Amino acid sequence: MSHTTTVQTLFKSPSAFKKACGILNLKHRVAETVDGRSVLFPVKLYAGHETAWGELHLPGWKYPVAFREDGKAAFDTYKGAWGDMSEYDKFCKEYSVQATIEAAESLGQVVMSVTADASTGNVVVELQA
Amino acid sequence: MNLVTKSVLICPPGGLNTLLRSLKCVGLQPVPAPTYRKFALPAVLPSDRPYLFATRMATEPWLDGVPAAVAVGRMPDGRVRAVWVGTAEPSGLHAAVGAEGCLLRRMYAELACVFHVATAVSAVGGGMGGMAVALAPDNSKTLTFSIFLRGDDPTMADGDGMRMPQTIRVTIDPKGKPTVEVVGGQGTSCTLATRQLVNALGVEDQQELKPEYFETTAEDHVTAAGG
Repeated sequence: MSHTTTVQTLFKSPSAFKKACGILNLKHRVAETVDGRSVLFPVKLYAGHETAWGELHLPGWKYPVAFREDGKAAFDTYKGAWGDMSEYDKFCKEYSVQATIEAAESLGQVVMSVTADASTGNVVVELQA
Repeated sequence: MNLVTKSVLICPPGGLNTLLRSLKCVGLQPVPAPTYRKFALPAVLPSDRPYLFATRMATEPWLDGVPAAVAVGRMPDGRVRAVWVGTAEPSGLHAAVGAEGCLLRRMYAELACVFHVATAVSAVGGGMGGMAVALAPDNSKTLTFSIFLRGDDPTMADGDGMRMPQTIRVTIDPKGKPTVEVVGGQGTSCTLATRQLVNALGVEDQQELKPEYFETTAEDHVTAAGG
């Protein structure tokens, strides 16, 4: 291998979002698309509203997670009292897997394998470019 | 869907006009390419009919007037493929290398019909010698085709232009943070291979270059020895 790149995930794919929610059986909402543009909607958090293309309800969370147009997620957990971050991490992990597969396929790369490593908790997606 | 019929394969040599006429006869739809290095087209390519982009390169100094053509078609798996061929050299159609070149390389392995198209187009052009290829869907409305020319892309090889396929390993940690690694890449070819993937997933957080990154290619050695 000649280099490694660490990626800061941005939530940019509603389709990967929906797939991840489906796999984890999470209640969610995605903005409708009109003329190729997402019709953003307000998501109510404790501190106010966020304008989002996606809304996610995680188990045990008091407020939903709002997925903003800039690819970032907004949420209120009050230092964990209003929501267990491990639930959010589970979602992020599944989203990244689905987004990787989706991106690879759109780039013409072949998904060779998707492997969960129980010892580390990692998921490894191997692609052939 | 086959990208080409046997009629195309037997169309006679005689330049691109002959090629275009022949392709029209067998139901391919020729479309002039507005530019050569990059062009975009609607993503609504019909699934039942391949497109062919063809043009003379007479006004392009980098090709010295040789004919060339781009064949674009939607494959049975739903993806869009492109083949660009010219007559600059007799070594045969070969794939570009790099992130996008892998697409054409895979055509050889997966889709013999595309190879036939390339063969036909090249034969009509009076020789074979693909320089490059590439395409990447930008969004739902547009497909961008990047045509790499020799010299444009430092990863592009001479000779048969083929390199070993690269494996990209994406490790997603328990918090959902991806790390992208290239196995089998050298130099800038491996960064090209992952750039689009990283952009699709988010933003680059950190990049670590391994010793292999700085290894020179065989072509580099030849150049050094000759100089």
